[in-house]
Amino acid sequence: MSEATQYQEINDLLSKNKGYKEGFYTQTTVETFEKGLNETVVRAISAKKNEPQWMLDFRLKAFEHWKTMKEPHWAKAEYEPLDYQDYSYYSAPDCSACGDHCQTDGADAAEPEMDPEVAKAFAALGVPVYGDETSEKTNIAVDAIFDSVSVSTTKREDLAKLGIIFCSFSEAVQDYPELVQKYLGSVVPYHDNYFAALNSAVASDGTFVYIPEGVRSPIDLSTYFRINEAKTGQFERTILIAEKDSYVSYLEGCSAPVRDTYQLHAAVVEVIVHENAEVKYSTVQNWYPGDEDCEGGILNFVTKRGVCEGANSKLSWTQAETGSAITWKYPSCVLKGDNSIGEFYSVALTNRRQQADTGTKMIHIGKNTRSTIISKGLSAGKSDNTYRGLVKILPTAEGARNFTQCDSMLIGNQCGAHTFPYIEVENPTAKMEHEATTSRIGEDQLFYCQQRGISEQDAISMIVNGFCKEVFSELPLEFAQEAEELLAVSLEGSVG
Amino acid sequence: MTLAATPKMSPAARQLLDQLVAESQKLNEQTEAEALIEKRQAAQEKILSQGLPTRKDEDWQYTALMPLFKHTFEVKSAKSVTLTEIQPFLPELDAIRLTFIDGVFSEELSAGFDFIPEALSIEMADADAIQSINLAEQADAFQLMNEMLLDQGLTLSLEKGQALQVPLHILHVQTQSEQLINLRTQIDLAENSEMMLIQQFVSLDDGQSALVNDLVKVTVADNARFKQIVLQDMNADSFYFANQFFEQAASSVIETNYVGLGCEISRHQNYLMMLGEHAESMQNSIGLGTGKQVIDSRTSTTHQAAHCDSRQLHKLVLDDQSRGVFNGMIHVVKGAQKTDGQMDNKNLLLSKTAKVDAKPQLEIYADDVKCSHGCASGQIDEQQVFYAQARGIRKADALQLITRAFLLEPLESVSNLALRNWLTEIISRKLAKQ
Repeated sequence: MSEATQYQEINDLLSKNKGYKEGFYTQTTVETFEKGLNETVVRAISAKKNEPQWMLDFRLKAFEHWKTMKEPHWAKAEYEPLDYQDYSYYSAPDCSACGDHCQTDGADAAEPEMDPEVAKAFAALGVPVYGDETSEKTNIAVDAIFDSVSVSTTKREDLAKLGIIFCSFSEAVQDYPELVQKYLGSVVPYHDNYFAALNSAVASDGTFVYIPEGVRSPIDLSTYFRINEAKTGQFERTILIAEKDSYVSYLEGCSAPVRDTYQLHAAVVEVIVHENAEVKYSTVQNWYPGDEDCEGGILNFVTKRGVCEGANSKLSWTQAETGSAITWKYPSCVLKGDNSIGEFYSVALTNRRQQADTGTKMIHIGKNTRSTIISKGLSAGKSDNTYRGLVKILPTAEGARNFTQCDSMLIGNQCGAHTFPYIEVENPTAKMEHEATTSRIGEDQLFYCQQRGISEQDAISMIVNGFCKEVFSELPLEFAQEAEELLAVSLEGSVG
Repeated sequence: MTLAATPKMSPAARQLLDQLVAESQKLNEQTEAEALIEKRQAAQEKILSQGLPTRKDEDWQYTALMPLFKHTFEVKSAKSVTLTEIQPFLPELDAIRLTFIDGVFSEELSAGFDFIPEALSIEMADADAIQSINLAEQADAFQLMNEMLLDQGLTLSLEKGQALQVPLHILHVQTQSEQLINLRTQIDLAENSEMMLIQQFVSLDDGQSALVNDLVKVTVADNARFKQIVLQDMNADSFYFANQFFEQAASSVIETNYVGLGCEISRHQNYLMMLGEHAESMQNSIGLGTGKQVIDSRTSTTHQAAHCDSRQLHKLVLDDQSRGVFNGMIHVVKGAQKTDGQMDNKNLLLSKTAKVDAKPQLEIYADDVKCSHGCASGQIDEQQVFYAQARGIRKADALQLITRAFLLEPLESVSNLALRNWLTEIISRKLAKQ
């Protein structure tokens, strides 16, 4: 090997080894609520957002219920009980900097009037928040959420021409109250679980998507979540409705600055898919995982659920989970409509002391409903990676079909990989199959690659990407690339 | 004794628990040994503070115990039974046969004493010679029940280098209604020894419900081989709960097969610890549910040492409104490298109202391992039936043929042909009856 190429290789390695590159903090004037959670805070959040009475009632009902619940600790992740009084439940770039438009003026929100610091942050993250400027280049509409508020939603006019509603959740509450009222809590009721109840009470912002009948969204819709302030929680609420014969592909990305205390992220996503409609929901989750011991990372407690309401509808969840100190996430499909299809493709990578407990639920109710689950778990360092999934076939689900494959790969001998599937079959015509394997990167595989001049690091990267291929091929192109790069970065230094 | 701390339970469950504790107290009154009294009391306290399981307990989510709570079980003295009455249950093979009527050993109904070598010791031991179960952890209610009702236990030990030439057959006959049968067995196999054990549970008559609570502890030393068949074929009104604890040392072999045919609710749980390197284990089960039966088969396998192999095959066939439960866990601890663990569960549903719940789990902390599990549920393939029909086999026969072949697969590991045939016949008989 010549000296030049050797040098090149070292450089490449060094440039890759930069760890969590999204870990910067944005200095801007913000308005943050005092720490603590009580009824006054819930009312204040609602007042801040200028919400109608029904929304406040929903929050208060959820809050009352939340107080009666206990924090769940059944997941295979160890964490101290959280002090909910030690978080702030609302934080937003100060409105005095940009006039009063961020809560009231829905129509102009796409105009680039956001705080320049915030804009810089999104630029650094590579998120195109200025619709006009990038409309030529990018084929994607973005809703950018900074702590508790949505700061920009691009391309909404283009979409509006097709009848697609793509706006922040707060705006939807103002502008489309009948739609929000109809669907809010219809898939994930406020009493569903502890974190869903908390979210219903203090929901910050999120995205609202409505695809009208017969419309195929020509571009991908996406939301980028950014937690910036310390000791705040983000409680996004996303609702996605696909009417008859419609189609949409929705992407979601996230990141947070490096902190030394745990931050809370408790989101709720509700997806409603009507007859013949199809929704593709992709997530690349890259929350800050914390330091070497995962101190200060994001606690990601998310409830995502979709219902295939109509016949022949299809909902597909794809996720690449690489961040967060603790992940507690089970994107689920309720297959109500006959012939409806649910899919779940997941790559979950844990390194250092990260703990991920993730999987899915497939509830088969309608006839000939089909579901596919492909889950790839990678654990490295001292992490624990768990697949936990439920496949439930109810007596009405005549001819239902499920295929599940959970593969785990262990990298190093300090980590754990676990599989906890729950299978409940109540219809004899249903066919379900479940397979799970656990393995590691073989020394012989590594040797084979190295012998052919591929460095150890690249060889691992290659093998891991091959292991995840089935899932990555489901992600939209740019996302797939990003996910592959994320894997490489997150795996850095885990072997050897 | 304080009852204040008792957790939430239905009034029926409460009643049964109180009554079982009273049974335990009755035993205590007849006992002089202080240590034993204390042992029972410790278990009483624990079970009272824990309560009987409800559907909210993760381990009992799929196994509802409501039908059990309708009963009041008592320890009763054994009725007399003649040899002709038990003859139909016996296999035609040479064996050392130990017969127990309602949990009490009957010498006249036992046979094959000539086969007992000097190296094998069989004893009905007093409770103080029996190891207690570990109460420190969150113990299973039926284990605690077994401990608090412990009176006598059967101990079997086989000396070093000795192989038992014929199987040891333990027959448990249940004869009375509302009978509580609390069994404890402790088996020790010394190095290089070999034993084949058959445990058979039967009811003399239909309609008489009994509660069998069996706790078995097996220790298998280096290079020893232990094979076991548990055949549970009691009447459809009885209840069976078994907890088997296995510990195996280096290069030893354990093979255990469970055949669950009877009982309203039955639950068979294995806890297997692979403590020495190069140990091998095989755990299979067959369950055939009809009527409203609940058949629950569970395993928990811990790979504590490196280079161990574990194999499992669990098959359930469920008809009518029966319910099948499989729960398996393979646990590989840190450092147990080169582990090879495999767990398969396959279920066949024959009726619209039958249900199956499965939870095949893996918990792995070592990287150089090969572990997998598979689980499948479905109904009989129409094409297979058509294939058989095309060859002149009537549909009903074809269905039975396919079901039988499906269900009997785990028995292929039983090397004793006479034994395998006997089991095949018993299972086929139940299949033909439905």
